[in-house]
This record gives sequence, C-alpha cells and structure tokens, in this order.
Amino acid sequence: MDLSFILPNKKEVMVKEILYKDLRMLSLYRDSGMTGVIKFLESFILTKNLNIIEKLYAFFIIREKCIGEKIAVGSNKGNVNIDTLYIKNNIGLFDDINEVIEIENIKCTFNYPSRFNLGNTDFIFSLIESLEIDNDKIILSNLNEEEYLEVISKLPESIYSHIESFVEKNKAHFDILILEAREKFNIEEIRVNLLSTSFPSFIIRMFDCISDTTYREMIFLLAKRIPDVNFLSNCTYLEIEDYYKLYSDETQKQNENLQKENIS
Amino acid sequence: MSKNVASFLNKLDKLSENTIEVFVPSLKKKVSVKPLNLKQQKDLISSVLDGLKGTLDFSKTLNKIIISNSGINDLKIYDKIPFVVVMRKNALGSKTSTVDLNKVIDNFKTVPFEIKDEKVIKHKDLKLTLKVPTLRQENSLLSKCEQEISADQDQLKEGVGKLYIYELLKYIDSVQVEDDTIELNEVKISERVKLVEKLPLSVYSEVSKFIETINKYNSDLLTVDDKEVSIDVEFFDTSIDD
Repeated sequence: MDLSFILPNKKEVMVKEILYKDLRMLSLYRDSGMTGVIKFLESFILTKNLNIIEKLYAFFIIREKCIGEKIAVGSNKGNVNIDTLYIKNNIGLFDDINEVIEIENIKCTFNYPSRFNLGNTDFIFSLIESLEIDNDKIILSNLNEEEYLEVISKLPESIYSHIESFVEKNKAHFDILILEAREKFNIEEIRVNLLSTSFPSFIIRMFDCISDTTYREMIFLLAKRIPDVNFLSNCTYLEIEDYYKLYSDETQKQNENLQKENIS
Repeated sequence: MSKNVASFLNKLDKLSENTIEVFVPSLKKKVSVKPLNLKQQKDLISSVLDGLKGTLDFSKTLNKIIISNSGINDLKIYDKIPFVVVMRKNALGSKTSTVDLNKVIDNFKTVPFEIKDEKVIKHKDLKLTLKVPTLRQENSLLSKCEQEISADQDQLKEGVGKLYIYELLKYIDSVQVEDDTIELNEVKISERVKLVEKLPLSVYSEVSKFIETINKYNSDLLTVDDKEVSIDVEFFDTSIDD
C-alpha cells in the first residue's frame, strides 16, 4: 500500500509500505556494502527529486507506519530507545538553505545534497541542485549516473570553492541532534552529520530489526494460527507483532483453560 | 540521454572550449591544455584523507588529468611540472604559500633541460637499461603499488619500503644477465618487484643517480629564490588564492 504525507516544507511525498518480507531482504543485504542497502531503502520512497533531509523524513514515516516509532540508537551507555517524533521535533521545520550563484554564465543552485555519502567523494556534487545556462535548466537528481558524471566532469573548477563556502556557511544545518545529553543517566549528546557516512548508516540501522532466523521462526510460529504464509510475509512488522501478541494471548488463555479443566 | 541533458551538455562544452597554453621544455614548444574541471579539483583534494595511499592516489589523479586535458598520451614524467603549475595558476591564481607561480613558469624557459631518456648500467654480467617512464606507465605502476599497500601497512615502514622499490621499478626498462634479457614491461608487476629486490646494492645507487637527474630538474623548475614549492594537495587548496 502506498502512503502519502506532507513534509514540513509543504512538499507532498508518496512512500511504499515496507513489508515483513522486505525486512528479511534487508537482513540478507546486511553483509553487502552500504550502497546496495540504501538503494533498496530508497526504492520505498516513490516521490522523486527529494534531498536527503526530505528522504530522512520519509524514512521516519515508513518506520513509524510499518515498524514502530521507537528506534534504538547507539550511545556511550549502549543502545537507547528514542521516539522518531522526538528526532523530528529536533529537526524542526526545514530551514531553506537554497542559494543561487552565477559562475562563468552557469546559474548554479545549491541545497541539501540529493545523495547520501556512501564513501564516494563525488556525492558532494549532489549539493548542486540544479544548473542553468541560457534558460536551459537541469535538475541533477533527475540525471542517471552516466549523465551525472558527464555533467560534473564538464563544470568549471571554480564552482568547487563555492561548494566549500556553502558547506561551511550551512554546517549547522547539516548537523542533526538525535538526542540531547542526559546528565542524570550520564548519556552524552548524539548527533549525526548529514554529509558523513554515518548518516546512511543511521538510516540503515533504523530498518535493521530482524535477522533471517527471526523471520523464519516468526513465520513458522504464526503459520500454526494463520496458515497463509504469503499473507504473513506481506504484512508489516507492526502487524506481525500484533498477530504474535494475539496468538500469544490466545495460547496463554487456552493453557489457563486447560489447567482449570484439569484441576476441576 | 534525454534531449534536454544533451543540449545542456552542448552548452557546457561551448563554455569550456577555452584552453590554456603550456610551454613544455622537453618538446621545446607550447601545447594547449584544458583547464581543471570541478570533478578533477575535487579528486585532487579528496586524496588528502587517505595517508600513504592518498599520496599515490594524488600522483595518479594528477597524471590522469594531464593526459586527459592535454590529449597527449606519451608525455614523460619530467613533463608533469609545467602542466601542473599552469593549470593550478589558471584555476587558483599564481599565489602559493611559498612562491609566485609566475616565477616558476619563467623557470620553464630558463632551467636547462638536459635529461637523457635512456641510460645503461653495467655491473659484472648484469646490464640494466633505464628509461624515463611516461605518465601512463607511471600510473599503471602506481595502481599496482596502491593495491599492494593495504590499509594496515599504510603509514608503516613496509609501505614506505614498497614505495621505494616501485620508484626504482619505474625507470628500469630491461635487465640482462649474460645472454638472457628480460623486458620489464613484458613481466607482471609482482615479478618485476621480486627481480628488482634481487639486484646488487651497487646497482641501486646507479639507478638512484639516474632518478636524481629527473628529481633535480623538477626541483630546479619549482625553486624560486631558494624556496621550493611543493606539489601536493595543499597546492590545490582553494583557500589559497590571489
């Protein structure tokens, strides 16, 4: 099922549900590189041309609707559970950092990057949102990989210093507060930088909630009560958890009744 | 490719049609070279993050840029400096932390070019033919060296030792022992390394002398008033400009 929602910057975004079978797929991807996992996760965002902060918001929505609102984040005191709403509040409204400069007759618009930093330093060019020469405009996130590289390879070097200045000027906007320090519990502040490789890792961890073994065990167990395995694998994690709870309660009641019958 | 992108690329091509002139002492003439582009500038700067491997990557990137932007495939390693300096000046201006690049450019015409492309070294029954490598040949050796220096060897003595061997290897064209001759470009790079490691010590010093003629030439080109400008990542740092 597709879901639609409005971002804080009023942009409408469509996403696809992430199902139990998709989480199994993700667990199989775990040992491969970050690039494949992020590409797989990005396929659940149906709206094109989003920048990475908009994509983060979309991932929060998918997480809330399909897995749950609490995410485990690593801290100096081990994993802490944080509500996605808390992080969304920290991000707040998206500040408009869009900036247009003109270099050698090329109108260049900078914004939040459209690509995640997956280790290839070329990602920094995705801070360029669009380019325009004589009313001929291209949006970089619309280009395929080949076109993207060709465009980047033909841009004048002088744009580089402007990218550096843009990053420096907006560094506070690229830094997201995940959790404020909790002195009482001796937990240090947790931040993630949008331009670092730890950002895509953070997103991957948000969806890394089952192992291949857990998947098999859960399906095996619930199939005793709901024999249609195909139906189960097409449920969301939240639904599977609900069915498991119902099944567990039902079994417990049956056991209690059985015990009562045996006593009487 | 969509029409829109193709048309945009055409316009970009037109904007980047301008070239710069570089006087190449070994060719005794000026050649045209395209200015650095955005990706090339980023590739040069990003190599700073990677230690010893970064140093190799920097040299490789620089060679690739020179070959690509000049369109000349057989440039030798002594041709590197004029291209690097002129492209840097065009991109970031003539000011560096040490010298004015206009004075370095003047050196290209005044420093005598007296490098011999070939030298033969004899030691008992051993005969070594040395040749100045092309940028392309240097790059294939640098790629191999990069693979050899694993992440944990980086910064360690072993990595530096490997660099030294590869530096010697660049210049050795053939090795002859009695009637048996091996052309090194016909041998796998890993086997070339083994071969060079077995050469007698006295041969090493002769090879080093040959290499020194090129290093001295490069150093003379880059020196102004006893100050030498270093060609490293900082040289392409955009925060230092006119």
